[in-house]
Amino acid sequence: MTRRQPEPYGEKHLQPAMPVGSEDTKELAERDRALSIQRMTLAMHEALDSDELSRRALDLLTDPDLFGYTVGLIFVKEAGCAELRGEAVGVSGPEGSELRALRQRFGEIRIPLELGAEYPLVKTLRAKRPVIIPAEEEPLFQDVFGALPVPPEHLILTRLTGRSEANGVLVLGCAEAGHDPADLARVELLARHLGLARGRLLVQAAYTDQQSGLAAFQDATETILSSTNLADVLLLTARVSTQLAGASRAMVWTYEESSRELTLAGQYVAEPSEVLDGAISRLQNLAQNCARQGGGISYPDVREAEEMNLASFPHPLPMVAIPLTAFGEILGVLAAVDRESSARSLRPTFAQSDEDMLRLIGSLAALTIKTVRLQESRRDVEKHLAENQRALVETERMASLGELSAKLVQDLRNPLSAIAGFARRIERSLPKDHASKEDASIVCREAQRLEEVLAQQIQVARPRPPRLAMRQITQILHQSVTLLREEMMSRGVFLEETYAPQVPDLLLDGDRVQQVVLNILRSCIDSVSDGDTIRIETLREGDRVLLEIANTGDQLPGEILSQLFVPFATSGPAGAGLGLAVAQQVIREHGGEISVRSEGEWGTIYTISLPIQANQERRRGADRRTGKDRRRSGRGRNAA
Amino acid sequence: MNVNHARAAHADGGWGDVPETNRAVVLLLEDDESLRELYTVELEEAGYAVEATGSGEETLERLGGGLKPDALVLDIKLEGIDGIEVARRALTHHPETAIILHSAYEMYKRDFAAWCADAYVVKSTRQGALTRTLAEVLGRRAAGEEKAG
Repeated sequence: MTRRQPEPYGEKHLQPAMPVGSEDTKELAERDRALSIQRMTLAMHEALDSDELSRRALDLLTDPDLFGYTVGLIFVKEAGCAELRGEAVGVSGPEGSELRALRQRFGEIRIPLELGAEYPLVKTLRAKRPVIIPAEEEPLFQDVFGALPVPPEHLILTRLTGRSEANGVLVLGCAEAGHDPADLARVELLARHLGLARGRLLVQAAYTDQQSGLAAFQDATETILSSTNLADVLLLTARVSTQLAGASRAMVWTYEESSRELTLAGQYVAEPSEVLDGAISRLQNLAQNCARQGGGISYPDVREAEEMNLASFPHPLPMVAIPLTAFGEILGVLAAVDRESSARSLRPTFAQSDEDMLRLIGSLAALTIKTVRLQESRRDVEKHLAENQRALVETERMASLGELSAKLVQDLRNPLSAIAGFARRIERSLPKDHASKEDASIVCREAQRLEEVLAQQIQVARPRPPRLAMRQITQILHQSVTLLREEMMSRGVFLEETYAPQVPDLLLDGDRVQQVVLNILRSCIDSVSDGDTIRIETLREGDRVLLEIANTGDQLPGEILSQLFVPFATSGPAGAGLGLAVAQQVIREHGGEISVRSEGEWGTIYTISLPIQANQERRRGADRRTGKDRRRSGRGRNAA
Repeated sequence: MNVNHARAAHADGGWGDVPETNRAVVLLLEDDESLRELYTVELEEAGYAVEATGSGEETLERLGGGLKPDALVLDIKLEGIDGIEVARRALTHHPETAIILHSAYEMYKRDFAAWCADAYVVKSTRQGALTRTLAEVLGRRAAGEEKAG
């Protein structure tokens, strides 16, 4: 683009308007006025923003001593934007409340160029020279003029031009029909200055925007890319988006990996607004649309959508939403809403460049989200892996512990068998009243007990699958009692046995249940003394068979009762430790429960409850699997 | 000593005494010296004529040297030739001999050769399992032969 010097336009037009060589006061006054106009025109270029520029221009034009137009309107047109927007109103004379309201309303006027092509206002954009029309010919301003104390009769419309293209229209209203041609030339000159000053401000603002945007973008890029915390990344993305797009707030919604619903994950508010705070969920619906369509969407004014319920918002509410996409996957939506006030004074909507910036920052954020998520899921996987590994090591440790203890027990069987065998031989060889006979018997018994304790250790460490068959619980009890009868008698214990007649056969692992009964009986024998009683009783209670084994004697303290079934708990009665833990394990495997309590003279009452119903179902299941089982069960019952 | 197919009897169990010449011969393989002594005495007291060895090799030597026991009681876990190997060879060369595997380990029950043995007894501190099983096995064999004969 070639850089053109401004034409000496002003001088050429100003000269004929200047009365030269006249000495009377009127001419002097005219000269002063011209100078003032010139000074004020030049002063417009010192305006720092477009509001101030418009105010200075309108003050000059409506000043009764200078131009004296009754009303001045400035419309502006953004580059690349096909509409005229009300920018500022100036009125000569004092300003009433009606006018203040008008001024506010005026800012919201939008005239699409396409729609208004026939209106003089729009046509002026192409007119090289000022156009003068009767006020009634431009219907667009009728309500504006209705608010004025003196409605104008004529309008002067002049386009505002920057360096290359029209950037607005200046509308001046005058009460009288006549026009001073010199004034018209001055207006034309002033409009030219106004257009240039405005163009300069726009370029300046765009440059500053770009500079600060680039700097912010640079900072943001570094921070976003170096952050590993997702919340930080999203907040930063929102903050940078407000800066880059000149938005009053920006929001980031992300999809939770588990659902297809957006969640507000980051929001930055540059200018607080309670109305917008309350509208987040409605804005989220727009974001959802954006994500569904997969492309960016831009609303010039969200207030127009009725469902948003934002009609009362004081100024246009633009929104740009772009999907956050990484590797073809939509991860969320980034949206900028509402122009920040200084950005709004230049341009109330988001420009294409803003959208581009958001897109850039959005793709950066999307990449970071993806990276952080991948990192998180990798960490999860690693954590999971480590847990599994720990569990595996533990399982292996337990398994090898089980193997080890099983081997230990078997290795110990040889020496134990020898000890018990020889002790029994000594015992047998001694006469009945020999002092050492009981000692030998004790050696034998203790060796047996050691073997049993070790066998139970295997059971806990490496339980074998149950071997189920139909068994009569009474028969199992009989067998157990037979095994220990001698021991009970030698201790001087009375035995009470009560068996209910109506107890059905149960599908059981007979060996294991017998082991349970033996463990409990042995625990009872260990805790009684001469003259005590051990009671064994079966009864049917509804759909369960109850089996009670109790002994008279001292009641166990509560804390010991509660510890009885804990493996290796040391506080139980002698021999209880592992045996009762195994008992509980076995009974639970049979779908039953085992409990212990004290009651009256009975120091310890063990109750085993086995379900009949579940038992019968299990039995049916077993029968279905193999007919052999049924035959075997039948024989078992007959034999019993 | 070498008298075949005799009905063994339990000394303490009230089976009644059996004449010396009619006693069943048991070849006991047990590498643990104490246990070898214990089982020898117990089996003898139960009325058997007992030959005891401490290794698989020695057992096979005895069998190869013309000893024809009624029953082999074989410990399994041994240095050198183990009890299962001895059982396998005895099954081939001395099918008439009853075989009882006698081990502290239950796991050998899974061995195929162990299935061919007449019985598998797990060593324990409990009294009499071995002598009881031996009597049962020999009784079963004698009954089978009577039937066949």
